[in-house]
Amino acid sequence: MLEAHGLPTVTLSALRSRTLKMNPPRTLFTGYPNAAIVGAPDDAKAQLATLRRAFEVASSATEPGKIIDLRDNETIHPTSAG
Amino acid sequence: MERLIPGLGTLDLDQMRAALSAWSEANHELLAQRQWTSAFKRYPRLDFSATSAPFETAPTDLRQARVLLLGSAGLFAPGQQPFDAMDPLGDYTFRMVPADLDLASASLAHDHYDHAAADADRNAVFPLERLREMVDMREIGSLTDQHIAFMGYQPDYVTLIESFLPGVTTAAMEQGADLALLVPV
Repeated sequence: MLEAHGLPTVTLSALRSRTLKMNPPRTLFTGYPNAAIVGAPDDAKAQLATLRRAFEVASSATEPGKIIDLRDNETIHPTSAG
Repeated sequence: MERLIPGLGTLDLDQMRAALSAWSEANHELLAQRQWTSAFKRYPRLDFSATSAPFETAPTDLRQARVLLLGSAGLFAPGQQPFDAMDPLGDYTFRMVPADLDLASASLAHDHYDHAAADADRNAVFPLERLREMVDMREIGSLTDQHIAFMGYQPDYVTLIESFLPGVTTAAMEQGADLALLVPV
């Protein structure tokens, strides 16, 4: 709803299946558990890496529905098969 | 009757309300007993996978961008009312927290995830300190004056769509952000 009002968004995700169903405009799948979705507690380096990658996803996406995996940098969605 | 909801497409909220009502009535006891796995087995889940996501071009130079954080960890600042974590049908309010909030002073009210990591370091679920550091390092331009915190257990998506999302959208737009970072828990 924010995006529809002109505010671009980037969403962190810990659950791929839920993200695919909710279909946000841009998503970074962090690979961390839901209860520490940004990164392990007191690991500022890892948390900053998550945020940096999320902002890269935000600024580089050219189409809606993009999902990137933080760990292997793989594009989860859209898939090559479409 | 179907309605066009900005960003979500055309939805029949009456039909959705009826489905939710039937589910909550059928699972009233399980919800009251907080047996979530059983209660949500037949929950009428939303599916927007076939809907085209809205898309607004984001700033390409984030060193000039003003960033807004929205987090669903149930965080609230000193003096603010806690979220109702015990309501089996969720809490649809939100809190505005200042950009300079001392995260160690903030509390959590959310009964649907393990707080161990967040209690050790709030940045694991609400990375406000990390964002301030990114401003100091000139990796992002600035933060909005206020950020948005809520409790992400909100199974009544009709209330979410009709009440929560419009309120959050208005509050977010008032902050004048160039980009919003959403951190669900």
